Amino acid sequence: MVPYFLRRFAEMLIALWLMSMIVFALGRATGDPVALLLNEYASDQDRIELTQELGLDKPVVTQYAIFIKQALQGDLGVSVSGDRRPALELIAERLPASLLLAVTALIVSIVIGIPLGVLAAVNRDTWIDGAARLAALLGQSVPVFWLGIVLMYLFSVTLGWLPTSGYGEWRHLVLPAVSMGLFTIAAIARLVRVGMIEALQSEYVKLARIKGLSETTVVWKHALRNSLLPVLTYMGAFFATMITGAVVVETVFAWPGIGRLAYESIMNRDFPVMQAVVLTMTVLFMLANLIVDIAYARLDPRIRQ
Amino acid sequence: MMAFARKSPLLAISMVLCVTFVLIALFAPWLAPHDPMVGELLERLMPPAWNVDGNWRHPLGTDILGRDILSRLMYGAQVSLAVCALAILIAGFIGSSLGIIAGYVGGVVDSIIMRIVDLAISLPIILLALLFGVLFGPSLGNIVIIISLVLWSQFARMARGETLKVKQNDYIDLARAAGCSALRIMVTHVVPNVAGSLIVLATLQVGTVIIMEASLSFLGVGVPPPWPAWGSMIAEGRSYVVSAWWLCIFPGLAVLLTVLSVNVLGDGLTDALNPATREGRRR
Amino acid sequence: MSAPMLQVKNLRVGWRRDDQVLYAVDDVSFDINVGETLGLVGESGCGKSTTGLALMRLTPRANDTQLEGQVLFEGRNVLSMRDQELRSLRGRDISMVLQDPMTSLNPVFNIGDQIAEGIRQHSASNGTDMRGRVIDALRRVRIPDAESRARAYPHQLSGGMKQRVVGAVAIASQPKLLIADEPTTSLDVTIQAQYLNLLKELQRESNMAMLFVTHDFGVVARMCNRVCVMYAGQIVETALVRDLFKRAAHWYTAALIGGIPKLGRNSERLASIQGSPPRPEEMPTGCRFAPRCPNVQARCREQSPPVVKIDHAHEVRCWFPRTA
Repeated sequence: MVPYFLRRFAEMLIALWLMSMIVFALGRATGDPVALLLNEYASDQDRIELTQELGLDKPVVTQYAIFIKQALQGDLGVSVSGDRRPALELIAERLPASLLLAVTALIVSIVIGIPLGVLAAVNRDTWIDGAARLAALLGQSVPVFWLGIVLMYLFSVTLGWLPTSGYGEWRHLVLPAVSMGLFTIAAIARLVRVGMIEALQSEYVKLARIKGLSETTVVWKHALRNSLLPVLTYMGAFFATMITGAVVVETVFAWPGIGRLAYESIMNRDFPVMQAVVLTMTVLFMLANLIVDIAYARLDPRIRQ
Repeated sequence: MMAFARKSPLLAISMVLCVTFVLIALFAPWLAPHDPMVGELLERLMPPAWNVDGNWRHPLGTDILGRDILSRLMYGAQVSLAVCALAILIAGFIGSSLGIIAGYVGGVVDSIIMRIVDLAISLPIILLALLFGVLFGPSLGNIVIIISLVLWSQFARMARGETLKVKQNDYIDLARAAGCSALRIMVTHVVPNVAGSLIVLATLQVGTVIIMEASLSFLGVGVPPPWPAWGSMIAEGRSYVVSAWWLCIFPGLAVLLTVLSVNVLGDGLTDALNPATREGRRR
Repeated sequence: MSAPMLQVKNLRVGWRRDDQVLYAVDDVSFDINVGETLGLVGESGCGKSTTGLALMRLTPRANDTQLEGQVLFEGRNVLSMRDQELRSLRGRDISMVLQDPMTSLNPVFNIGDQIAEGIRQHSASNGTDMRGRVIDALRRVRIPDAESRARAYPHQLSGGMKQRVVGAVAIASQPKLLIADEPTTSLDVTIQAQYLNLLKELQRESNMAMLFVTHDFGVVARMCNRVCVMYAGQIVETALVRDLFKRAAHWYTAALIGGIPKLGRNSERLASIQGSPPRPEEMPTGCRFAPRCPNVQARCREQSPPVVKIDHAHEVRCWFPRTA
């Protein structure tokens, strides 16, 4: 098992390296930052100075090397917009907000999604099952950004129960977390339902019943354990959804996280920040996948050998 | 036919909706009551027809430039359909081919292709999409390329899995013993057998693609204005959600209904083809 | 003579399809006495497994399954028991060994836990005591190295071992009746004999009764005192084992036994029966075996035969039973 994870780790590094090259290349190609930063009254001298300051006069490969070297030392560049703060500082500032949102969405999805799936499976072919399946289908068909807007309209503007945006109390967290989590709730519910239906028809569930165990125990202990593995596999895809969700939801709700930072920096062509954010998100994404793989191996005793 | 509609009404409705979507998308220029790009400023921000201030010339109202929402929705359907069809065809073709080759040939080729697939999956796509969009400018072609880059790995994985299953069949060995070339075997034996699941996969991806396209348009890197894409309509209407809710609700509903019916259809298809999930007794 | 421990009376198991009710088990009655082994024999699909499951009310739980008749265990009707009583019956009074060892054990829990769970259900037991009882159960099914094996996972055991563990789970709470549903079908031939011997020893040790559901007459000959033969959802013959082999009264039974290869005879063609059993949707009027019976007469096709007693402990469902 250890060699497996070493290999995965190596693959992660390669993917990261690839990503850094892509980001670097795209960043350099998005337009001349010098022109962006200077106004039309700037002189040629100003332009030359700024170019040198940003290191843009050196060959591209050298620029890339410098970039990597600095990155490894923790210097991810300085924002070229606004107040010229170090990119790393900006990220550190915004990261907690994103993590809070992501973790909340994850918890919400699991806490609602799994029981929903179990309920649907146990009451298979009744109206409960039908309603749950329809709800899950709807959940996976709604575009997240639109959902955010609609929820905002309903709960903030019309009903006034929750604030439209902002950051600070739990009430600010509700709408963004729900928007982000809905798709996952639906996906998890469907996976659990299918897994449970199969598990409930299995021989080992029959054996559990033969032992005289209560139906609750049979369902929640024996059947569920075996249905959770596909959910875990899905978690990998979940993190991809999370990243997309982060960018979109944070933008809609003006949530001060790195998703929104990524969007803004790309739109503003603030490429040091853009590079830094994209790389950070990539690292987090890959780490998350690695953790999922480890958890999967731990949970299924058949793989542990 | 009616028995089918009675037995699973949801499926029947979805099929009707899907067909409607395709028809609208294809015939938008003839069906739309107004030009989607030109607005009459005197009629800007008109609410839908059933509202007091609305009228039936603009059944779903108008936007800030006075453009008819209904017409824009119809043309938006064109965008969605075009992106879907192109992206899925391209990604499907390339992904499936690579997957089949990986599965059939095996060995080093398989490892290499699968490593690339793993890499593709581990890159955060929306960020690349944003970068791409900003770099090369928003356009239909770029969106198709981006989405294809996301999608191909799904097809590759499934194609490879199915190919491995097919490979175990005896007729493959027979063909090999008869001296058929690998390419010929793949085309004549493997492809017809894996096509079924790949088509189902494609159907399941349609919903995802439509949402992706809408999201990218919403963020500004999709099909550029003034061409109406549902996502960008939502973005435009966002600031007016309180005063003119119809600007972003209708495009969102369009996305929702289309994706929902496609998903129901896809589900129905998978259920029909997969004996394990078939309802009914286990004897 | 005391009443039999288990009395099955007019058991029917059916399910609704469209607007009909189709029966997999149609009016089955038999008794099992304390300490005896009854065989339930028939082809695949005759309803024997379903009968076994019905005794513990374990038939598939689709909403439209219905159970009719009575299953009296020590006087109490299993089919109308409340949930709590049923669960206390299961595992403690009646238990079951399933057919396929590969799928009978839950793959995510170790075997010690799975055995302990069953024990815990029916008796209070603390930690060390429980461990002792688990190891004891494993030893009773002759699993070597029981202490370390208790922590093993199902996938780490061979098929034969797994089946013994399934046996351990079944007998851990000392049931009075053990239902064995084709327990040796999925095992290697060499292991089958060992397993059957094990079951016999367990029975001797605790005087438990057994119901052996099988299609294999060889197993019946070895293990059972009495046997019921099932066809198309009904019992067509009940007899002591030696009587059955000596002089089967039902034509179906005779045909089945005739199809068993015997050592010593020169290789004649194996007798096989023409046709196949009727499906629940197409049950014939009259005797269900009539279309395939070598001795069929007009009456057989028109009227369902009653069950007649032809000897002490020998009953048959036939208008014109075989004699000698």
